Amino acid sequence: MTSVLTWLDDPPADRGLRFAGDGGGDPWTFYSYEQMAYLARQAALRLWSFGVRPGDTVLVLCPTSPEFVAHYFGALIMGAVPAAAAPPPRMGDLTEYRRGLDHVVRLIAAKAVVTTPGSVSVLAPVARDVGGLLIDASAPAATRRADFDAPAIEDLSIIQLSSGSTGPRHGVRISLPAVQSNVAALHRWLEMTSRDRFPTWLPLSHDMGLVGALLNPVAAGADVWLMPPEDFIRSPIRWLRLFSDLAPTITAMPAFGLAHILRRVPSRKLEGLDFSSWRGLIIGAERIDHDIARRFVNLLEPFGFPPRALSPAYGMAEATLAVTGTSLAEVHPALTVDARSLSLGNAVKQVPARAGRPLPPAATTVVGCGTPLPRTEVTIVDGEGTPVGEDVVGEIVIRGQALAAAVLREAGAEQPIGATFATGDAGFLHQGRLYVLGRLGDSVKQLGRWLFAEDIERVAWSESPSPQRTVALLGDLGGHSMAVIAVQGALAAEEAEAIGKAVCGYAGNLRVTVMSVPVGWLLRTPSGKPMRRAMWAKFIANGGGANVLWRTPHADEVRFDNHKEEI
Amino acid sequence: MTSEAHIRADEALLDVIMRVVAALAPNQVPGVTLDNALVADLGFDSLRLVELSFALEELFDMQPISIDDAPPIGTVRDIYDYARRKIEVGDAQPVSRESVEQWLAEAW
Repeated sequence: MTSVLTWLDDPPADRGLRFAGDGGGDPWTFYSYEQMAYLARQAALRLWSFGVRPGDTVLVLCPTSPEFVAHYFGALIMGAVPAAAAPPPRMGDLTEYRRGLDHVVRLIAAKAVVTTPGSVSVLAPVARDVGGLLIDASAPAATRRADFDAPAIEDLSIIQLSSGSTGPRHGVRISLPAVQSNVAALHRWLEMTSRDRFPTWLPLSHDMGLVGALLNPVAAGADVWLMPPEDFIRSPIRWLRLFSDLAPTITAMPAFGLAHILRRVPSRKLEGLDFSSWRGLIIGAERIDHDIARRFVNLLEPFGFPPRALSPAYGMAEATLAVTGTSLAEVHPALTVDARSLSLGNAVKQVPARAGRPLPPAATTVVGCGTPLPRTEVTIVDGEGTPVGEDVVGEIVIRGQALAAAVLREAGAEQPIGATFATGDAGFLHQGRLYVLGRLGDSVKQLGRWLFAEDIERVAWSESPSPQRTVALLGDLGGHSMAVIAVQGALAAEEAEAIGKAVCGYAGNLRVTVMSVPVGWLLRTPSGKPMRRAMWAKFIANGGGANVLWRTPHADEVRFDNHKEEI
Repeated sequence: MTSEAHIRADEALLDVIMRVVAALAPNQVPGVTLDNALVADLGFDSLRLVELSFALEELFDMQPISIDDAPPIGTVRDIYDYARRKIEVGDAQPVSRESVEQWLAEAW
């Protein structure tokens, strides 16, 4: 089996990692695998000399840097358990950041926090509060020898932290054999070799960045270019120029990365660039918008980007990373379906494309996320947990060697995951490929049919004067399934009626309320996802100053004891 | 600098800050005001806040911004006060409206 530690024993000197500089001189600083292996052993000695012992948890809190890589692998070398968290952001609430970090340190019972000199003063209060060790990654090791043996692979594990958009951060503990199983599966899927050239801007505190864009290419012995996420945000064109100047072959990013490129990079800036070396762009981490994927391909294809390189995937930290992926030999499929057919346990109804004719309002296009990776099984189950056949909607359940061992939700309380994991995501299989529909938490079950907020939202957008400020919430209230369409700012009565009727036309018996809401009512996560559960709670509590402009005839049966608005 | 020159400099800075914030704001509200909150009113998320911090850094020739000396995530007025303070102590340079327009055309 592929080992993520093998490279440490016989590290090549002609390949390695390149870290983005600060803009002056050579834009990249090269560390060969030979140098990185030396630094990782030094890091192991440093951890040991500060009192870290096998089995202890080490929180690696460094920016994208040689220090991060050295201490992550250094912890594994000496038998400790590494966990990666995001370093202090450029712009944010420092108090809030420290509070979140304090929670994480307690959650994983961190023995030590490793960081770089620039962050030591910022993090000092956190380390002091929990009585842990704050280790400066550049500090000299106090010893040249340490009394530890090379640990057995099966005794090693890592912890991955999840930021989550609806709840507090939690962690998952994954055995190293499980990690290696997923990395081996990635290698087979992506046909990774040491000849690959893999640039990444993903945060190393994220599963996609850590497993997909670091452990994966490092285990293959490929060349890797690492850029901090802020640099990509600052200049996505610099990222794209990499593909022209250095001819890399493969990379990965969440769907919002494509949207960021589309927003910031006009076609004229791509003149003279050549993306023909790009054989794989893995897209995942969030539901993939068919329109965004299509526009991205349209932007880059004239400059040599092969459409089949765009490879939607599905995964989560609980499965180490990847569960399904699209073959790099095919253009990713997309299915246009009648959203009204998305009934739990019922068959998905495809909508045939007719040239020159617009799609009916109830049609929605779902991006295929490929087939299960080796040693991974995907099952779709209905509301009772019974497996269903192809083209039938249900909850996605996964099974395989790469599943995490346990979830950490509270300090000192690990919940074993077991042989299968119910993801809470809805989807269906079609011709062996997985199509992901959305979170079950953002949906309602109506007459045995799941409705998804994202799809209701798209219908509302088609009639809304402000689509970017229009959010759909779904929930059950007073025994009825309801859709609430919240539009920030002014909304005319006839506009509200048009939205409401469109949603009603889409969602049958759903009770629909359309309201204008004041500035600040709409809540989003830092990455821009609507916080539907939090907004739903606000709606139920007192309306929060919302002004109802339209509702279906039966909606007035709904009563709230403490409601200030007439809803 | 005379008090009149001070006022002119403040007005020019105000104009520049309003222009930059409005250009980067996810919510394109008509007429950004000093009292608009970056997050609640103008829709800034973590990605756009990072973009704003880079914009301030590049336009006003500031040292790299870090979290313990970052612009406050409050209102547009807070950003204006932050830039003004940086210019007063020599950690930032004034920028003309023309330079801002040129920067927006090139970077955006």
